[in-house]
Amino acid sequence: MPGEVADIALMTESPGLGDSSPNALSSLAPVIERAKGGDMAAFEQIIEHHQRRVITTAWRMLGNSEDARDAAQEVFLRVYKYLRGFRSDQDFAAWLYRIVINVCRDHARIRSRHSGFASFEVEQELGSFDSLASTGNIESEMIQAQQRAMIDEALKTLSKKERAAIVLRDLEGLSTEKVAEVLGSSQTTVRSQISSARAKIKKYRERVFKQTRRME
Amino acid sequence: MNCRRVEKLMPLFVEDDLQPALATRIASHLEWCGKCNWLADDYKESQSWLRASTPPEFDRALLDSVKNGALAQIVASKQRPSRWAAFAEHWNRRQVFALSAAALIIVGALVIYVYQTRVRDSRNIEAETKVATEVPQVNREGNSRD
Repeated sequence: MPGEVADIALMTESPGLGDSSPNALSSLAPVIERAKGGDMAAFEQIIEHHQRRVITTAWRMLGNSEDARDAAQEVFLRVYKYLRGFRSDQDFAAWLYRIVINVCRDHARIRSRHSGFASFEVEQELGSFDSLASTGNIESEMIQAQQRAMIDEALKTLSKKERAAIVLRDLEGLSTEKVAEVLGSSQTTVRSQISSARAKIKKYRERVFKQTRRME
Repeated sequence: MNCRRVEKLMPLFVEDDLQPALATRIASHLEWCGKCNWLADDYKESQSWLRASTPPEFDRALLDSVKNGALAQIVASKQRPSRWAAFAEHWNRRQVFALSAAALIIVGALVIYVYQTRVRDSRNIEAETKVATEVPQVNREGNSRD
């Protein structure tokens, strides 16, 4: 076990793939400054720029679009509330991701208190994308929705911290360093969480595929 | 490097999360170990499966509802009076002055009371210690008389 920890501590960084590219952020810096000064048009621009990424991350964390939409709304409220405290030398994307993760954690806590673990409903998910289903291929959309449901179930086998780490690292493409910054953990802890999460997802997938083969 | 160690590091190896030197050692192990090779393939498939699911295409209407909902709540929170403003709404200046004066008197009385209690206590302690030191002297005197 100590050897394992030492191995994890020795690991290196892989490049981040998120939307925190220096160019995108530097072009947004003046907008952020204007929004900090109370310019609502600038704040609207920040929402426009980040809302798709925010709602996608929230969807990956929560597993359904309705909760993701509510969470995204709450994220932008908190961004507005705390924007004055944001320093220009900070990484805005990491700061934003931290808010997204915190909001999703709060949502999940409230949801579990009221109704236990929420399940991903394929029909509900399809229902909220009527326009797509009617124009595209319903069958392929159904398969996609089923796969999303399976992946959501796989993600549910993880602890909250593991889920946050795997969503940010493997699905959002952030570097381990950034994930550690967002989650307020050390890189060693994040690598350990990622390692454990990948092993659990593999195990879940194998179990599901075995069951499917048996049923066939 | 043995299979057990490779197995532990495999989840990080498949996504290039390992230090190059460690990754090279695992790669050379994989060159001859069939069992670990299968494991690497399984992890790679699992990772591709995880990434294959694209999130639903969030349409314009949904994105607009997020933006407009957030902006509407911000505007509403701006219009909502602050706690001080809400407090001031119910109390006029004369009432606030009277309340402050009353609070000041109560606090002042409390400070005086606490001060006096402490002074009294310290005097009592002093008196008790004086008595305690005098009593043995009397006994000693009594003994000497016997």
